[in-house]
Amino acid sequence: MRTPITGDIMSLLAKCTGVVLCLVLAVAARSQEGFPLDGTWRGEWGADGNTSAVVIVMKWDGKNVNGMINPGPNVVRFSGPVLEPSNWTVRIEAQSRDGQPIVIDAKLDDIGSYNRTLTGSWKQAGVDHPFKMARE
Amino acid sequence: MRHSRMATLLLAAALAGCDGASDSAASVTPPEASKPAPRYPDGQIRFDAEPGGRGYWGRASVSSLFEKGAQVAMDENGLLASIGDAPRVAPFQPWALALYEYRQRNGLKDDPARACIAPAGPRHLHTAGGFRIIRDPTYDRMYVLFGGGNRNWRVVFMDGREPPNPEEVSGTYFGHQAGHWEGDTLVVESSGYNARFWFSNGGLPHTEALRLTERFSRPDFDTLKYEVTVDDSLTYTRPWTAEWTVEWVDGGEIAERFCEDHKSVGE
Repeated sequence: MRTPITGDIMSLLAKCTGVVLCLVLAVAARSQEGFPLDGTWRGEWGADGNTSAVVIVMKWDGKNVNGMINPGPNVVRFSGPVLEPSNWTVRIEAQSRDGQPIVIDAKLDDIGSYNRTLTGSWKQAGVDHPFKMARE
Repeated sequence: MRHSRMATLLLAAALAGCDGASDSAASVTPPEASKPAPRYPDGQIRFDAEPGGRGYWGRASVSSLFEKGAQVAMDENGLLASIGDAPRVAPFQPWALALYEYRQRNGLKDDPARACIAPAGPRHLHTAGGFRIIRDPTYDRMYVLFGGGNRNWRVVFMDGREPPNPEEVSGTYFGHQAGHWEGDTLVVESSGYNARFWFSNGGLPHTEALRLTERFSRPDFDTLKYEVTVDDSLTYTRPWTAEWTVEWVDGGEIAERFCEDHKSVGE
């Protein structure tokens, strides 16, 4: 049975939880991790109204970035230098499951943030599409 | 003997005059020799105060981390006087140099310590606020308690345990730390770090591959000698070493100070 007192306690607990979550997220948003591309990235490519969701996972091994586009049964893997640190540009070259070349050219922004971003183009079947994603 | 001491003092006075130093009496008084480092009853070097005494390790001879022998000017926050000196700070991989320069250029505003993330790794040993190194024979551990940053501690296992398999654990701010003695030097090897902190105030990057080898010694009562070798092949082209000394503050206590977002609150 929900009495006025338990209702107040529940409300207070919910507010406290919200405050703690905000603090945790605020700290995480300022944190950074090692190699700027390491981690899981989520975003989309394609024009308005015809976009495809995409997840990219990348890991630096000291010489190359080893990555996966859409991990799962239809994963597309890639490996290469990928990052040009002099201007923070990224170039990913891969091949889709049906053999089409994929070239992603993007700029890395907001490097100081945990949720840094990649914005640029996704070229597939000879057509350029807008591309953007953020690090999770 | 007395004549010899007088001659030494006169010679010191003459030399002080030659380099244009102050002619005050203080400049010719030989420095008081420091006492030998204290030891535990079993003969091991004691890095803390003797029983009944007080004290802590205070001011470090450096304010930031850079490779031994490098000549680079920095302020107390690790901000370079000239960004052109960045490649001399450490043997960076190209991405790491670019990231270090990025952090320097934006005035270190992304420093996780500003959000009270621990000054982990060697950073807490040159961060203002002081630290103590305490032996715990009951659990065969050493504790490093530090007053700077978020006022935290690290645990060094001295019981010979093996580090965990890095594939089976998540990296942490203080990693896994195992220590042993080489004569009077405490050697601490550590790994298993996460990359969510800066291990120097100047913004030196690292990855989870970071391994540190630290060497602590106390050549005399007032001096801690510290050396750290940074090994992170994903970030640096080779392992590299930094070193500094820290002064003992005899009779003092670490001040009560707590970290709040973007500021430190003290007494």
